[in-house]
Amino acid sequence: MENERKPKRIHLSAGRRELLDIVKTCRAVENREFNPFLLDVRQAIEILRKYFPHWEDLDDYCLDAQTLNELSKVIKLQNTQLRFQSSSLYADPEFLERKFERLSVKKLAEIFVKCWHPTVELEQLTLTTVEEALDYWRNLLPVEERWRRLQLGRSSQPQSVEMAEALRLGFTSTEGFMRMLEKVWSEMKNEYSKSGEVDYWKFALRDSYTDTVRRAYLISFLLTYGYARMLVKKNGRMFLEPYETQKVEEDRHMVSFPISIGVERWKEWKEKA
Amino acid sequence: MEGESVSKRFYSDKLKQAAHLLLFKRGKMPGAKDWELKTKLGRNYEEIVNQLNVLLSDLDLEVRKIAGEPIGGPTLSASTSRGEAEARFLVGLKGSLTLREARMCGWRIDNLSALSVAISYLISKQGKAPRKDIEKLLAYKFGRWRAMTLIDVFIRSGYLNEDETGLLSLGWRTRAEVDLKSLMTLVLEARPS
Repeated sequence: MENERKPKRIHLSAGRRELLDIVKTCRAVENREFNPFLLDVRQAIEILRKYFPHWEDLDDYCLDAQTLNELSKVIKLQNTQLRFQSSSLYADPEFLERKFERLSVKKLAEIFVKCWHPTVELEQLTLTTVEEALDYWRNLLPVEERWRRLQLGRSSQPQSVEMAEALRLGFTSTEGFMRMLEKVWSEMKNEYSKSGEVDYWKFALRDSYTDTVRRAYLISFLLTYGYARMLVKKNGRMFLEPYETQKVEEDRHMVSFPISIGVERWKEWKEKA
Repeated sequence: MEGESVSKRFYSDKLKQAAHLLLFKRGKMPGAKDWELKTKLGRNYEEIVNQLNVLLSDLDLEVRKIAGEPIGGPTLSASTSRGEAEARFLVGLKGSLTLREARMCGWRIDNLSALSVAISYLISKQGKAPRKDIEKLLAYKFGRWRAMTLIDVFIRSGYLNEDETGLLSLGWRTRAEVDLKSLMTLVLEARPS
């Protein structure tokens, strides 16, 4: 009797994990990150069958239905791919990549021009566009007004200050510049390891305006020297990604990205934070 | 006889009106929508457009009808999957330009070459691919920064579309202007010089 096999215990948490993994893979396939045939649909269905009788919560049933829905999308993509491969437009993307590498820029342009039939479109001034332009011009504030909005203020002539005064104003520090950079860098790395992303403004924002500007200044150096990189999302949000070691990529094209930090805006951000 | 001349004059006016509608850009996109032509030219607008097409063919131009087709070259007689109301009529070049002519129109060889790479790669990926993949592909020849800018230019001009997940697809202009089948054939047949 002891030799009789006991039925395997089903761990629901493991089941949920497996289903979530399937959903994640399906989404990656939908986003064209993988070939749809890389997913073993039969095995995925087996997993669904295995856990389905054991689900008790509504959430689990919903997850099951969602997984099934995602799998059906992958099957649809598999079908599309098969149909596409049988069409005359089919070409292996990897083969094409190698081809592009070998073909010259001029040759590629010549190929394109042969099968390009551009549209004829004549630009014109209409009553509506003229009215829109006039409205824009009438509503445009004078340059002085627009400059005032930027709160640049009047600039004074450069003067010399004593070291003690510069220290008091925060223009210089007894701490070495590289040490300050290292400090900010390690803070950034800590933040990144904790939350997986570092929001630029949250990271740069300090209690005082001077500290915020100083921190933004140090961040700019970290980015320029290759200790971190900045990602700007479509919605305009900026994120920092620290590197473990300094990266100097010669083939990288550096881009200047000015960020304005005015007192008013700093106040707004502070209120939001 | 009198009826015939009336009919001819009617067509002559309508032809002018059709040419104005199709050639002069009024909104963001060139050409005119199916319903616009129907409203302005009347029920027999397709006949008028066909007649205009015959006239334009002497000038190496043609009237094209584009609809929401997934992949494939646009033709005048193409049937639309979204229905007639969504179709757009455009006037385009019947033949093709030389590289020199294209440069004179303001196109850089780099841009044309990058567009050729982006479109053919997208076709090989069934019309959709992540933006970063195309950026990487273009960066090999044009540098990362230029690749990013070029893709933005192509999106703005309607050759490519980008969705909120960062997936690129073929835009309306590609479907209207590029003969995708010959592009793929020429790319596959091309040999490095």
